[in-house]
Amino acid sequence: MGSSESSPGPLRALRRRDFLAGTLAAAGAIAIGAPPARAAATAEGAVALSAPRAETYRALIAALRHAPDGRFRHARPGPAVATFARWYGEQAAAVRQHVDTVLDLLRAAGPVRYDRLARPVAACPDAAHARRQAAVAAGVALAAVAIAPPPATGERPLIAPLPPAGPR
Amino acid sequence: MSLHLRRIIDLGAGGALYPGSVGDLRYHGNIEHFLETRTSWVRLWADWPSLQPDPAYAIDDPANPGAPWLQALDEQITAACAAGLRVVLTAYRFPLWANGTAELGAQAGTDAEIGFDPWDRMSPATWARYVAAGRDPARYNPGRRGLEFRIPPGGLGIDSSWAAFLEFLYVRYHAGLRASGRWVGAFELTNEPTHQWWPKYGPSSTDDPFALGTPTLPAAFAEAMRTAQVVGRRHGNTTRLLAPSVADVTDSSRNVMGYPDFIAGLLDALDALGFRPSRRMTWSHHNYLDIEQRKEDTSVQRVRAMLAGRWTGARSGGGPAIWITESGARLSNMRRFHPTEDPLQAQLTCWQLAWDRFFRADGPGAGVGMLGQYTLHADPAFDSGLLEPWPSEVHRPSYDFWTTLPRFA
Repeated sequence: MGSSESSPGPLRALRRRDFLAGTLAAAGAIAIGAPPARAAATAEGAVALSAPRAETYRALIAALRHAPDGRFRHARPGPAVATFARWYGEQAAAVRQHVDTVLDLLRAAGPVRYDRLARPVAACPDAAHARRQAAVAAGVALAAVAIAPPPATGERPLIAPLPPAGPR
Repeated sequence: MSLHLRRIIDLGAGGALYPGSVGDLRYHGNIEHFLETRTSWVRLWADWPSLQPDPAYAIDDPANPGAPWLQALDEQITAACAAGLRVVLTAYRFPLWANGTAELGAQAGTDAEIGFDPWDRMSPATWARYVAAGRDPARYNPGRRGLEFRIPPGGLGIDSSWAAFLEFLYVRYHAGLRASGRWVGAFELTNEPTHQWWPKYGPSSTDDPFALGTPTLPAAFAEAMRTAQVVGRRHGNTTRLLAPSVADVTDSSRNVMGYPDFIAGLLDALDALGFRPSRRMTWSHHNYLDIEQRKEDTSVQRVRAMLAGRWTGARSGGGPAIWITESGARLSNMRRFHPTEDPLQAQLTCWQLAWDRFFRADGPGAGVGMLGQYTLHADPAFDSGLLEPWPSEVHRPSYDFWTTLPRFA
């Protein structure tokens, strides 16, 4: 196995304004190159997961089914999307914004494939890379909302690292 | 008033499990947030299964499959030191190869894995629901303790693999290495063993396998504490050790052991070992319920009362010192405990009251040397953050309150 990432060289702390600038730039790129990516309002006025984001979530669940440790072997993308969409509709605006950003970043990074999600990374050479890694981790946590066993009441869920696609 | 109430923010296990994630100290403006909130300590995690997935490789072997995780940990500790932060490093989880569950791990999510010692890994209600679903995880996948939290059947003595892991961390990061720019201020033996580690009890003596048996967790943890102290003494005894870091839940079941039962058993087990903790060993505790329920009669002082006269470790305020390495006010519990209040304002009020109570040398604050906050950015699944969920930079009122508090290293 081993990391497929190049050595990052000397540690370079990413400053918050770099990170924000990168995130906003990514959001702008998404807005230009993709279908409208804001939460869709239903006829009743409730906030719903947009179709592009639902499709990204579906792809994420389908990818995680390939985890070689089998932890998501029972995940079914269709029901998972339905479960997640219900959860999404119940969340505060700040959480929905988090979901929107994570799914948009995953979609902007290209096809959602297991081997790309599970790539070991030691360090991120720039803000864009760190943003993608954060989106992957957050995406797996969001997937867990629908397909992982729930934590006990009052406990936080543990999202164990994804084993690499190849032999480890 | 307490002169030494250090504040710590725990970035969560994510920074260890997923380098680059929002809990990674190096990125996402995290260091700037520590500086802005005048927080002097950071809690980082050392996830043993990530660092050493294969026992054939030493952790620092460049060919170790866990090498990327070690580099990430090295760099986060270095970044903390460079920013003037002190680190609590928490040892976390057991690899399956170390606790006899490697074969089960290859069957994750099957009935064979789910049905392994279910009385120690889930509630009876959860198990009953799984059975009612035909033991078919495709129909119902029950919440359960992970295999990585099983206490190695051979124990945690000085000859154990866990001792070797702890010694690796100590040798690599102990406080005597501060000139290297990569060192920690304290090692924490684990996180909340009364919740996460299993088994906690021996077999039930009744027909109900979920009924309590003889407590076994306290003796297992006492052995871990003795091991940690031996490791420290081998290498100059330079660094504070923190244990047991249990949460302030009072009731016991096979799945969660309440802190009163655990501490009583642990003190007895330490006596049975003839173990006397040195002043380098500091009692650590987690107290979400003290904060969230705005308690004046705190679990912290109840713990100190249990330790009085029996604990020879670090002292403060004329009694046992206690460091709270993790706490917080979850918005979900703000709605539960303070339903008439705005949740964000309720979170702020909880922290204001907590600071007033713990930043004093007597009463609730007696002996308290550290106060912890779980995460900067909120985790939607465990929402105690000071900021809205990543990538938002929106401050919650409690964040702004934290920026007003004094900084003690």
